Amino acid sequence: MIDNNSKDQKLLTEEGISSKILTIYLIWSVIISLGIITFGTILFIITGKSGYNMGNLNSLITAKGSLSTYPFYIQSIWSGVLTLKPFAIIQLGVLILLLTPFGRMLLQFFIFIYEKDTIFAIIALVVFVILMFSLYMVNVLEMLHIA
Amino acid sequence: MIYLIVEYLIEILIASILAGIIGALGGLGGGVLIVPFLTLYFHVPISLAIGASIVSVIATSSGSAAAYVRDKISNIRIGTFLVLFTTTGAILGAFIEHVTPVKVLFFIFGVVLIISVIPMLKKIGEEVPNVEKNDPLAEKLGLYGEYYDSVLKREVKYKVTGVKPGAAMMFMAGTISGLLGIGSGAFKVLAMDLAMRLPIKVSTTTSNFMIGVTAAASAGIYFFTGDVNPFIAAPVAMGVLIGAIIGTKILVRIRSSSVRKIFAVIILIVGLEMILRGAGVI
Repeated sequence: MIDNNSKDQKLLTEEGISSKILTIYLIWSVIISLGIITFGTILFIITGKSGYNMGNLNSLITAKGSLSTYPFYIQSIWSGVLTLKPFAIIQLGVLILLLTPFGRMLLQFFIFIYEKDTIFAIIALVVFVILMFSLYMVNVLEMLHIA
Repeated sequence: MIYLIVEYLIEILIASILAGIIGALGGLGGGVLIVPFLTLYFHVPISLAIGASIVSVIATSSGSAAAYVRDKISNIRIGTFLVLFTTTGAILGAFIEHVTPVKVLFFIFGVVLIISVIPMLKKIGEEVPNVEKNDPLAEKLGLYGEYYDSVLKREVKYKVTGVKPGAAMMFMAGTISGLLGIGSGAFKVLAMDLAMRLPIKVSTTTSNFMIGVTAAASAGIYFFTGDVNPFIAAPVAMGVLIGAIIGTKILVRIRSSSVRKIFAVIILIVGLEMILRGAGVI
């Protein structure tokens, strides 16, 4: 009886730690990514320049990503960020935001391992692999000349 | 010209805040109204609207999930197991979006909007469902659980049934999410409520955990194919998050179901507009 209680107690504190880690991770990833997006937007408004070809309002709202409109590859985003191009900074924030759940699943994987929950550690890892596979789908779409 | 551009940016921001508030009050999440707003009133191409919306879904989901992780009501095991199916569906959905004609997308969006109003009007899962026996798969994976219900003032133990039909419905919810750039929380809750007979509190909080991970599976595809336009995505992500925060604060104060009905009507009208646009009438 006493053993059971202390076991429950131990489980409770472990759960407490893992949910605390997850909460901190989620809150800070939102704050950091939205902060970067806001910074990029303010820079865009102040300078009046996107760092790329803007054209008129209509071309601005209908533009798909390209070398001249806005970056959407990691290298081009990074080189744009280094030269303080507002649209590249926004894209960096968006990229961090959309990768948050990737990191969250990886974190969940380690939490399940820590809790010695092998089956669910594997499930969490498979979800992470599926997420990584989604990025590979971009190549498939490009090969099919759809994107 | 820059004044015109800044004015437009602020207009999108305000519309997104509104969408976030309405989404939170209707229990639907902000994403569901963003695409109609952007396409019908701001003349944004639908793929770019979907790209901006899916990014905002991740922002709101991560923001509110942080609050839900602590409460212990959400069932992380069920959530982790079911995102296997929603993420796979989301990848398929994003793929379908890239090969579907624009008019068809408008039409599907309108139909989905109208369907998602149903659970808003018909209150589902008022009581704790009585499930006699766990599904063998649920037994094996240990999906059953318990939580403290603050209204009933007692520990509620629950069992889980219908894991396979539930998983199939989750795959469909994921496909809708990836195809239309919405969280499709309503469909996830329906799957957990109808097929798996989970208590409504567990369904809603677990669904919130799943929305962000599901959205990430298609958001990557939209981003790296160049469908996330920073000029649109930035005000939408900021606006929906602000709106969701305001909406949740209002929600604590008003509990009347008549408010939900007003928002249900708004969503119905927007859904009809999307169908009419799809049909080429407007």
